Amino acid sequence: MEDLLKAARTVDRRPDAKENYLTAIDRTSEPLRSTLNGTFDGSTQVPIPSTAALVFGRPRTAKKVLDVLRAEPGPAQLIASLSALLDPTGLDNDFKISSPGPLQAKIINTVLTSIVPNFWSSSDREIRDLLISSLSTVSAISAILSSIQGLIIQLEAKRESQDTAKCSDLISVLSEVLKRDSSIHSIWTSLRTSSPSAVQLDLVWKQFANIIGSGKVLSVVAEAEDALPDTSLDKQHRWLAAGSEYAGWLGRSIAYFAIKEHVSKDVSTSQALSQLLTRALTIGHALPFITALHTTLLRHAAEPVSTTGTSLRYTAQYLPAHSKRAFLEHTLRWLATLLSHHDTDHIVSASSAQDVSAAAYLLDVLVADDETLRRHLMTFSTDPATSSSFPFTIRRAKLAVISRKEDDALHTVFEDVLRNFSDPLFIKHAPTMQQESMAQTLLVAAGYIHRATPVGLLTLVRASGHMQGVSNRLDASNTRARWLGMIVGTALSGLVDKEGMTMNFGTDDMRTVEAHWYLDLIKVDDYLGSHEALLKLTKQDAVARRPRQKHDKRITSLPVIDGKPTFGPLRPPQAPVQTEVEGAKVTEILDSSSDADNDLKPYAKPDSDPEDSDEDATLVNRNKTRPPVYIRDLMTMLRDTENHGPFTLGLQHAGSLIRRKTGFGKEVSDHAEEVARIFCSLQDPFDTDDFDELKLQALIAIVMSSPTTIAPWLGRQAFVGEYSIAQRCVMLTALGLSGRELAGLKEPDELNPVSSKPSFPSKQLPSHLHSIYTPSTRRLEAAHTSLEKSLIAPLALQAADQSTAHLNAVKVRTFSSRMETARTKRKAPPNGLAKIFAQCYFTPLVRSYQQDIAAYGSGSLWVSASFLLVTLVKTLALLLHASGPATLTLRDVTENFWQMLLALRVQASGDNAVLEAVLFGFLTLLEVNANKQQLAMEFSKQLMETRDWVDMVFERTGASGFVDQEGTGEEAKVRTLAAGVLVRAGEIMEASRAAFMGGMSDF
Amino acid sequence: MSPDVPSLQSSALPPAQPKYVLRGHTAQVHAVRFLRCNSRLLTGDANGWVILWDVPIKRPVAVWRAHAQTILGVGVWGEVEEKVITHGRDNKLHIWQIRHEDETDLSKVLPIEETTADRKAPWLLHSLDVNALNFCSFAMCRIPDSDHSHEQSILIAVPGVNDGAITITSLPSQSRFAAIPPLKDINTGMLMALRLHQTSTSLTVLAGYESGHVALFRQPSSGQLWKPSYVAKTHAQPVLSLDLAPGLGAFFSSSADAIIARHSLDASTEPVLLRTKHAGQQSLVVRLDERVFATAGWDGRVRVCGTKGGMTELAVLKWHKEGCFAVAFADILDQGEQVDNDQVVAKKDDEAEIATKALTVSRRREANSAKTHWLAAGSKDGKVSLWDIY
Repeated sequence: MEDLLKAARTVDRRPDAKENYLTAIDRTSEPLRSTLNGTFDGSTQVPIPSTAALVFGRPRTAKKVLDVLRAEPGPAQLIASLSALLDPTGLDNDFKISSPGPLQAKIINTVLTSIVPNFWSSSDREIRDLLISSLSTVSAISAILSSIQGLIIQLEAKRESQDTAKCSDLISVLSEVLKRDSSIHSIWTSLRTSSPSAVQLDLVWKQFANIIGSGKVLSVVAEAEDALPDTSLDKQHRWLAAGSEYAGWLGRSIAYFAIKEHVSKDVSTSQALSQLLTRALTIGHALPFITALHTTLLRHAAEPVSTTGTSLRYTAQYLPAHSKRAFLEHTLRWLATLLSHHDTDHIVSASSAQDVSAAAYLLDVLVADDETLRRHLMTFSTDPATSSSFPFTIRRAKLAVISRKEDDALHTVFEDVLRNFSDPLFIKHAPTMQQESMAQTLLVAAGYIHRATPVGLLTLVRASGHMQGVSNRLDASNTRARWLGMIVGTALSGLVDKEGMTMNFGTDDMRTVEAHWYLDLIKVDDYLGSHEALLKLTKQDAVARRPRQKHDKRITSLPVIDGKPTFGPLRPPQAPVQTEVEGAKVTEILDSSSDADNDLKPYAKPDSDPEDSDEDATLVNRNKTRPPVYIRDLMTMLRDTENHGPFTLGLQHAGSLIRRKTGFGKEVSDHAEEVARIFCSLQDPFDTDDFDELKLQALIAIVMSSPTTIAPWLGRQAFVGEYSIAQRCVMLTALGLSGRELAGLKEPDELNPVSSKPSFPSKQLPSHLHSIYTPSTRRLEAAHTSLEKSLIAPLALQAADQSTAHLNAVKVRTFSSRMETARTKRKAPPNGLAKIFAQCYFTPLVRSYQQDIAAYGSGSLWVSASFLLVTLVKTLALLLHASGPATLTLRDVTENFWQMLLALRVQASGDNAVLEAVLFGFLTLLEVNANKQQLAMEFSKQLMETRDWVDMVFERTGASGFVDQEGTGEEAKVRTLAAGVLVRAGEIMEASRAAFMGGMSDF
Repeated sequence: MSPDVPSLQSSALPPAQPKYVLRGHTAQVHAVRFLRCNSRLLTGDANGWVILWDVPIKRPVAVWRAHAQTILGVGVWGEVEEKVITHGRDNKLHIWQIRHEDETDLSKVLPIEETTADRKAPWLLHSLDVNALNFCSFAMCRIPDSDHSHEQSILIAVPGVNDGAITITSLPSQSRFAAIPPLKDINTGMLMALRLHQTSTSLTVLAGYESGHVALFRQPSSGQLWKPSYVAKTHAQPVLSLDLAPGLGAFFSSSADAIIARHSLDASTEPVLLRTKHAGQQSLVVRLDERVFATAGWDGRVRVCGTKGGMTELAVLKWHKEGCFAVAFADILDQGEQVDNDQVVAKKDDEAEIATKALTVSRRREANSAKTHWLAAGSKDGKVSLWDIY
């Protein structure tokens, strides 16, 4: 109500012209930013016209200004007219440059077409400032954009230097107009003071929000950047075309706006802000935007508690419902990255409780007075898919916020979650991750309810839903689902039942570390943190994410003589380096006349006196580095991005050093994760030879050093953080190859790091991308190809055998082939992978993959970059094959992998590479599950689905006629694989049919 | 030790080891110089610090910061060498007075211990402004036939304002003695090394240039311009040091490449080149008896070679882990007939003979130390090693 009254008052004041003047004067005489105690970048001083401007006298009317501007003014005249334009008392007729109107449009057009090209690049600060100030209006910004668009069309037709200059000038004008965080706010204030009516204000602001918030600026400038030659645009203006930087600016600007305005509690301003925010949320770079918005709000809160809260609420209160949902979701995502930057392990340590409560603080502030947001927050907790896309810490924070409310919101959440959790369909079909997230939510919520009202929990648990749920779960065939049911049952029973009556299954898997962790969840009690804690968290995050600079290899500096850098006048180019002495006069005296020196007895040479590495004195390298001896040495050497020598040497010896030191004291195990992190994010500043191979070898070595800890870590790492596609590929490859090594399947070329056959026959990548990606997975590809051959070859042989069944009598195994079989039959080394595959390799990878897909949907990198997906699937398949039929919990692995592969069918039908990988995955699955009858029984549905789909694929590839006769090419490969899967599936069905016949039909 | 060089096996001495290492400087040592009958050693580093060491007991006797920047060279002047000349990159050339009795007043705290406190500097006698936009140290020589018997005059040669020009000033009058223009028609670049030699008749100036040229000037008859009487380009890289052996009629030059050249003073024969295969030979210095010369190598090894025609490499002194920048020989005092120091040496020798028995331990130590054939090498690591060679 209060808000409404205030708003009415504001409207009342506006038409008053006198008042208008006063406010406007206020604005110019006392810059807005000076009132702000925060430090925003840049500062707006309203330019003070120099004395030169006063000589000419100012134009008195806007029309006059337009005439002056049109008549090619000199600098002094320009200054005079622009400052008249900006000074509200300078012109009569109540003319405002910031309000829309025909005259303003003319002036802006004139400024853009004739003044800017002439003055912008050549003028000093004063004129630039005046231009910036006069162009800081909505209509000017949209005019700039449309002129840029016009120029782009011209540039695309024909690139002329004149247009190029014009275009880059305009972009730099736009950048200067917008670059300050306060720009949007000052545009709003000037617009508000000058607009005659609320309707007009609304219209203009809508237009502005459209331009700024919808990414139009971004797309137009990016297009212009593309059309311009590379060098013409100044680096400092490129942010306009860089999505994340632009989003960051937008976030800061909106935060600034909110901080400045929230005190007024003005409704129309808040609505304007919401309009902008709604637009901005759809811009596509949500994370940088939200990060900038929240961090700015947090940092510039004058009195911590009220301001952050109020400005945040002020920003969000008039958002439409769906935008509120998006806003909340992005905020949660941001918090998730904030909390996970120090790698939230699956089992969260206690130390993160502070972080959780810091996150809970922000959530609480956000949803405190907003019913819509609260509802959304509850939905996020209860909906399995959404809930599982956040890490556990965020779920904890959400529950902490919900539990603080007096009403029975938490009960509702608990009931909803329990209903889902107990649902047989959910148990049977939902991914493991969703089930786990539901179980965790359930347990934490139960803890809160129990602490508040023990009876309340008792009623909830005693209701039939819970017991039915537990019994549904115990029926489940999936061990994990069953186990979760046991956990939830035990934990809840422990809370509500009397001593001695508690549920107890007494099985081994209820006594694992993980089980204890789950059972302890009921004790989780997070408090709402403080503003400071959150601020600290954001700062930590900023530090952790500071990018490492890639060094420029060519550092141009003055030559160094005598160990000291030279200075002084630039020296004449040292006449072409001469290594031989010229002239016939010089003779070299050999030992012939040296007998004269013989009166002195020479000393023997010292133990080392190596000759120079190079004849040319300028190339001699005096700082010889030694290979690293300790892991610590290695880390320092790799962090040294300044010096080429240590870096390369460290990299070259990394793999062998780590292998050598594995099991030698705790040197490797203490630093394993740190070293692995270094290698994951290692960039190559020096164009090192074989960089990728060396990095890969080092990563494999580090995984091999302690597979149980590093492999899961690496598996999660491949999905988080800010790694490039190539880096993620290297991580996956390292996982795949290290798993194979664990299983005893060493690469034949293990000792020879250069793979002999570059066997990546990719046609789907453009050549420039190909060269980037090829090295990173080449080894994986090689392993994949050989495995594929070994899977297909026996099938083909068998087929050939059957087709020539009538010749059975004459088929004799040749001598040489028998030799070959004998030779390959050697004793297999122990398979170390089978034991840990599910736990350390498979689950982290699949879980992270599903989480990523759940969180980002089709925007996920793993969907858009099919290359990455292909690598992942192939890695999993290779690992599964290496792990073999003896894999622990093979059944769960099979189920999860099958589910994942089936989910990829749609994507596979559009992309040959994915198709190939998926088929390969199926083939491996069917191959590894040696017990065919059991497979047919337990997975009959999946088997049929797979068979049908692969049949379709087989038909389609055959029908398109792409398969050439020789059987090479992509299509042929796919067809071969599909045929392989079909044959295998057929075998399995045959086997199950045989089982029905009681083994009698085994001919 | 070197089984791979059988010819040396029988006749070679074992590899030399340093006798002492003086650790005092925190920065690269750029200049070393023995003075006062080998009883003192003067060292200067890249931060402008100068240390005067007592050689017999190997302790500092005076430590002060002579210049704000790198010391380029040090020298001594006076009857009993009580004046110390330092040349720094702060465009100054200072002449300090440190008499024996002054030493007690001066700080003995080494820069390696602390550098922050202000030290008392010795009495400053002269200060010249010098163009020091390069790395060329000053060169000096005495004027023997000085009219004023109470004070010895010297000539100081420093690089001129123009690239390649040389200015010679006489002290203590501080008057311009000569100005030698850059070489004509040759782009020599900066002046890199200078050496003066005064014979009874005339003055000889040796100059080494950035381009690798070496030039020899002789004092012209009055009123005429200085012209080089000998120019040779024996180096591909900038010349780093020059020294001459008047008794042999030869002078030597070393450079940033691996070549050491032996030129004849009268330009009668062609220069002889020694390819050391170790680039960066600095601070070439010929011992007083002109039998050997030494260079400080950027590979951290000091090379001692014979001065005779073949320049046989006699010793490679390896101790420093980093490049060496400066090397100096002690005066040879046990041969009374030496030309330069005859007065002082003879006197001292006489004393020594008369009072051999009465000498205290410390006196005996001083006498022994004075007779030792020291070689001092200053390195990038701030350490100065003392060797006893030949």
